[in-house]
Amino acid sequence: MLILHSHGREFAPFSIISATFRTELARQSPEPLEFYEASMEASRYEEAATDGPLVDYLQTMFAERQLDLIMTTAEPSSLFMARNRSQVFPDAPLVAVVNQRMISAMAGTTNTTIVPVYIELPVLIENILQVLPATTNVVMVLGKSPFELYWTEQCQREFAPFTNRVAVNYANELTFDQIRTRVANLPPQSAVLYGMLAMDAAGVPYEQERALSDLRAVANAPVFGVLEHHLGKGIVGGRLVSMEALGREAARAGLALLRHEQPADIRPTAPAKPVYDWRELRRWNINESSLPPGSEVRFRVPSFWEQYKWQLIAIHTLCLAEGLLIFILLRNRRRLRRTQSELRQSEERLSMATTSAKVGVWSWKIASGDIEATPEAKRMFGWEANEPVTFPMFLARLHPDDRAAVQESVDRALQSQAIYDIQYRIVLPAGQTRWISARGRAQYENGSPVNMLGVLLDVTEREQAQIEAQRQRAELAHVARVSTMGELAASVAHELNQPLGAILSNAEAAEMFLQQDPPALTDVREILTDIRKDDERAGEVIRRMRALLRKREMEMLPLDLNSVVEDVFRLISGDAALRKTTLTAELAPRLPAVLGDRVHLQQVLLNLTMNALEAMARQPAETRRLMVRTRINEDGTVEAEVTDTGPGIEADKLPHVFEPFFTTKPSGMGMGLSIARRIIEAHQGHVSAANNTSGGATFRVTLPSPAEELKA
Amino acid sequence: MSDGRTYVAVVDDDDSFARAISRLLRAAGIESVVFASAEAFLRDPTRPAADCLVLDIQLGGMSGLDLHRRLSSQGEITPVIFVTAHDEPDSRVQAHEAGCVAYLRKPFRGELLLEAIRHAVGGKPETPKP
Repeated sequence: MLILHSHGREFAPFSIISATFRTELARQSPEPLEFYEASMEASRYEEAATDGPLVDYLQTMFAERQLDLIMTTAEPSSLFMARNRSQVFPDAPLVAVVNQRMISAMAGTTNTTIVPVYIELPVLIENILQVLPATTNVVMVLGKSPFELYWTEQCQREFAPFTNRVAVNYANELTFDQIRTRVANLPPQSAVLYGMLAMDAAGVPYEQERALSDLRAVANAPVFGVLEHHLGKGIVGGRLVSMEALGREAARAGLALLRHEQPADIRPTAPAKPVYDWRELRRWNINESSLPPGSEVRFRVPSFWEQYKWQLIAIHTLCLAEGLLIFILLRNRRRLRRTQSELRQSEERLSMATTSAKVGVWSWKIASGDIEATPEAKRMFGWEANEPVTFPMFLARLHPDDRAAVQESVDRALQSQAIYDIQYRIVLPAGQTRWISARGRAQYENGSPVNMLGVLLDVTEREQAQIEAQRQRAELAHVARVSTMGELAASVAHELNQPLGAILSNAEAAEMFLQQDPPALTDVREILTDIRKDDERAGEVIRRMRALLRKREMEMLPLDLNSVVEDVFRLISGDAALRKTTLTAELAPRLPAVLGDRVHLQQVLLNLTMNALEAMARQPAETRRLMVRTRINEDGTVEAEVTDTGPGIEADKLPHVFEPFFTTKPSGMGMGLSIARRIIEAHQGHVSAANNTSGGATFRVTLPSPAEELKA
Repeated sequence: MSDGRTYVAVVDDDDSFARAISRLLRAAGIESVVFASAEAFLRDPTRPAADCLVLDIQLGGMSGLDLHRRLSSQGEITPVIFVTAHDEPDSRVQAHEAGCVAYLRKPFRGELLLEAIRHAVGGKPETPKP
């Protein structure tokens, strides 16, 4: 068996054909085979004027040996055999892998099976236009070796019909470095078509796959290909010619010839197939629906679900079981808490009864409606000490908004033998409103209520103090928020200028595109989409700021402290980036909910983190780190910790940092931390400051979690 | 670039802004390539081909000013235009001291940028897009 190479044994892509041929033939042949290989090292397509030496060499070599089959790859060796076989090996059949364009030159050779290589050049461009219809510019990568120049000429001729749609540039006059620069800086709507690169314009030879992967690494446009073995090495795909399939067909033909089948009956064929690389399609955002029908997509990475199906099912089952467990625990906790609250009420009753002067005592005869009351009780309601009092008189004193609630509470106490316990407002004749806390219990005879006894307490001062405190807190929190916003203003301006800048440039570009002839409407359409997105982005910045500036009452709701930390990180991330500070959050998983006001807690954390950022301003940039940690303490409280790598707080100042008007900042008002403490105390929590052993300071906010009550 | 066209490298981490600039330049017949960070720009072997750099000052990692310093210290003297959304006296001074062609505050008029580029490439003729 003789394999005669045209361009050298290792010259790709033909080396793949001959290697496959060799392997397949050896695998399928019933008898052991002996291969001889020779190469023409041809470098030109013109008629070789010097067949002589090779003819002599082959004659000498095979003078004593009987050849059963000859295989040639590419045209030089095939044509050489066509010319000289009658002289050298008149009896051995020939399998010739030949470019379909050159087959006519093989006419007249007998005892020969031709494996035609169909490279339909127009199909290459059609494929690019099918997959990326907007393409207007193609760079054809083919080097400057004679073989590549032949194909460049073929391309130039056969791509001509596309001139109106795509401009094709050829790379054969460029050095490899120039090709790299070219493909890295292509205008939009470009594509690269990689044929091969065996030798560049400077005459430097390149090992093919390296040239391809280098180009793919720098290209700013998708790289299409011609040959199937380039798939997986960076080309998107296309109707690719498979060198392996050609090798297999040549082997099939060879075996048939060895079995003495008629050469004309064998008809080998290896049509190009549409094959694509899934990773490249993803990279260039090419939808699989735009591929030609019947396309094969290779190198698909299985989706997360496909890859981790069983793990995911297991995790979901676990979550479900856990959910069930949590439900049961919550129900138990609710029961426990009810018992606890009843206990607390009786304690309070006791303490109220022992309070002396401010307590009024009353007794209500239900049948007659008469009320007996101590002078203190009458004084609270604005009645004369000797004035007889009735139940309708009592109802008349009640604040209209509270009347229904009191009536209902009385009815419930009478019907269910429960304790009467309510706080209501009364309006005195002079128009004054007072807050009264009342408790009582009905006495029964033969199962029906006859009398109700109880005590009264004027709690107006306490209520007013509470209302005032709440108002002040809201006020102060607002003031602090506004001042923190002032500090944030720099980053807000940054966040607004980005979309505004993009909108302005886009609008100007659109004007220019519209003035072109014809107007570049596709570009204008894309611009309008981007402008809309940027407008929404700017709107979002403003909405976030407004939410923070709004003045409001405290609203205690169960909330996740982790999500508060995340909110605050979103607010300060711009500022942190400007200050070149690394933000890290270590959030404890399954943190129990705390009862709190989201905006106020945000305010506290915002204040602590902004202070920390400022404290680090004079540290070297690479050491600036702001870390927020959340954790559950052993006593069930929930904690958020803000740690910086600043200079820390001087030991003598540490005890005073939460005092009003105390400040370490030259520009600070000294209000932030005192307000933070008031807010946290309003949440029944506490806040503390300490220096880290490794430098910097840590502020710690501890909040009770409702779960903590279990242990009380 | 070898074909006589003006070629500008834009380094800006704001994706939308970078896209807008690159469109503006394209509409004016100027080729551009966009990098999302100074590091990405430094990794690109073709960067010396740029006729002019448009650098955002605040970038994710290395800043535009640092990038410019680094390039100058390596002897790469491509003209630079700084752009920023966060105008600070400090960075303005640094930018001018570093020797830039222009310092533009976002949002800015496109004509200012185009003029600065024309100035930077020193009368190199622009070939309008066919």
